[in-house]
Amino acid sequence: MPTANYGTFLYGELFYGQTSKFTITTVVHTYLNLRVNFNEAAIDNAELRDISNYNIIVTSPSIDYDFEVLAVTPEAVTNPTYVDLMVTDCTHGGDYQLVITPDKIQNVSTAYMESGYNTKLFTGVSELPDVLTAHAVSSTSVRVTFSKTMAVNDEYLDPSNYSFTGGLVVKSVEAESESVVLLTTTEQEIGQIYDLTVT
Amino acid sequence: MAITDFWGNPLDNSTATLIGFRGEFDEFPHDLYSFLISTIRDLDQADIALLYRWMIPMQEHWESQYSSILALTNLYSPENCSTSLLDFLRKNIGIMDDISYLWGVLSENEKRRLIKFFVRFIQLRATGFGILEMIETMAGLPADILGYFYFRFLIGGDSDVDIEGALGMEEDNSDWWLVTEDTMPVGIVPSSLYLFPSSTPDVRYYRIGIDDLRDAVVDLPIPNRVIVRCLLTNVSTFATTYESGGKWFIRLPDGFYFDQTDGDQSVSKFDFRIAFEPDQYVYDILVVDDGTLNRDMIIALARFSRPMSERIYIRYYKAIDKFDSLNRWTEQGSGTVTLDSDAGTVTLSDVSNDSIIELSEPSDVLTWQDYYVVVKALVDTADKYLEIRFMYQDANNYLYYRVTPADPPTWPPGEWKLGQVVAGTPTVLDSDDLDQFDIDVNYVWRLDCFTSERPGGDVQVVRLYQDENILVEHVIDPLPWSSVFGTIQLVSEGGGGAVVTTFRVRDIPGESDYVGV
Repeated sequence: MPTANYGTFLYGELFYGQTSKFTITTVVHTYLNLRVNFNEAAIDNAELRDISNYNIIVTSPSIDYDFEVLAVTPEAVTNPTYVDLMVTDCTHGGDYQLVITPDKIQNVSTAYMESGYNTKLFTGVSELPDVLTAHAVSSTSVRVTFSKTMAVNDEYLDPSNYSFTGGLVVKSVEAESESVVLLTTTEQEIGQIYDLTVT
Repeated sequence: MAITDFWGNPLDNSTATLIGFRGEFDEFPHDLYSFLISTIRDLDQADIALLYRWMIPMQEHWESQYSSILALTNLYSPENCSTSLLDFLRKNIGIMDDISYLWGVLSENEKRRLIKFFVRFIQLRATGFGILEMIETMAGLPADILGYFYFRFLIGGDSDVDIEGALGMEEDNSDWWLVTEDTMPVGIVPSSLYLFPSSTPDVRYYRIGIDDLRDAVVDLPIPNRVIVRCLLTNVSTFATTYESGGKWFIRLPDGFYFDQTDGDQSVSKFDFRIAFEPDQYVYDILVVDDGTLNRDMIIALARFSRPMSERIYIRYYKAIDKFDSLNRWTEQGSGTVTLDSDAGTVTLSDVSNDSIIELSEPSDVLTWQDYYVVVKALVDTADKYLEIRFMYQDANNYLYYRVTPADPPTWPPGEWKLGQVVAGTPTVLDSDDLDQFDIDVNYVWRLDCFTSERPGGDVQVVRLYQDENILVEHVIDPLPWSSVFGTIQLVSEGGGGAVVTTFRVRDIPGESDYVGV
């Protein structure tokens, strides 16, 4: 439905009753993507596509990482009503706030998105990591691959977090990368099937 | 705490399946798996290799069957067949029960060896070469064979006792020499001599002791025929051996004085010589016994290969070297040593330095106590000696047997010396002329070295021989070094040359076995 754009009036800014500001209506977060919907169509210009105009503040949890915008893709029309932000991963269920730099992007009436209308809270959505494979590289070592970049910390390198059925015991853990660990085990039986559980 | 990703997200799927390590897939030589197209194999291996594992039993069954097929040849392989099949294999090639005396004394490995080589043994049976090959193949130890005509040839005759008057030794029909001394066939000196009165007036008889001769006679059959000759009168007689009180003697006919005057008979054992079994139907098998020899096997092999009526003495040696290598020897000093393995000789020859080889197995030598050493060699330069150093402790302590040929036609043709070097001081203990010593002619040089168990106490005795004729029996003073044993060196004087053909060492008394009637 067309939105009244009083700002386009000749005396717009003086006209009493002009309450519709160019603002964010909703933010829809899917894995690695943040869709920002505007209340009015925007002018597709450099400012709209400038990633530095989009910032995400981590509210919770208090994990030290940057939630970054990697790319901006406006709706594929002349005057887009939303932009898709390609973002880095985040904590699933975390609280975040999108902040668009004020007075940078404009609606089709050339009105800028002003301070006070330029933020939106949203809840983070991420995919949980999986154990992809466990592959025996020798009779006493097993390479475990995760689906995502893991936190390389004491837990990651703790043998007690890796357990096998069939009596196979993990003796040590070595990080080959942020998503691959090499487990040193007791002697495996040729062809025996072991189930790995990572806690 | 639990494992999370970088952003604190917990694991969703936290399980995986592992298949125990099984090496590379390409290790199967006849891999059924390889019959699957590669795309299927790739998919299978990327997953849990179900197809691969499903084929493992079939693969193993195939390999088992295939190895059984390949192993069929083992059934008739003497090297690889099971022990239980040896009895079948031996009958296939004719090792029947009539030679169970041989089969029954063999170890398993020896049985396998006999089966493998039996046909060749049959082909060469009863030949000198065949007997030697059989002994060396079965025993894996050096051996030699010495027959009557290998050592001797007849020059004349003695019609009185129907024995040869003189004997010689030859090689290649040209290199020959006499082995007799005053027409006596073999120069073995009795160990003792007694003259006893008899019950008949004016009749006495000799009893000759042979208990500690170079070859112990305990294995001789009783009675054993011998010939005894008195060197003073050159008269010989046949006699027999007998045992009395655990010792061995020769009984001569009563009143037989070797044409000596009654009442003026010789009482020196050195006036007599003894020959055992002096005929052409006897030969010796010499074989090294290093402690591993199966003597029963050697006896059985000798019996198996024995031509009718021939008698065999098996002599066990410490060392036999026919110089197909110099493995047992080390060169000493800067002289020149040249091995000719084809001819089986080692040449010691150098223009300025002594050429020396030393027996390099002192662990063997050190166990030798009473022993004899035989060296068959020729000397090719006048006035340059060949020396056998024995009881060799070091360069300053040893005994030596030295022979030096003269420059022909000088008479005497050479000389021998028995000497010792103690603490670096050389002393000639005894010496004399040699009646025979031609340059470039082979002689057998032998020394007996006794360090214990000699009659008369703890004296040490050395006997020297040339061509089995005794040169001297010398009693030496007790030697100052603590160990009387030692190694052996063969030395050719600098500027001279010697070619050594055979080297043998044997204990005294030697151990023998007899295979006769």
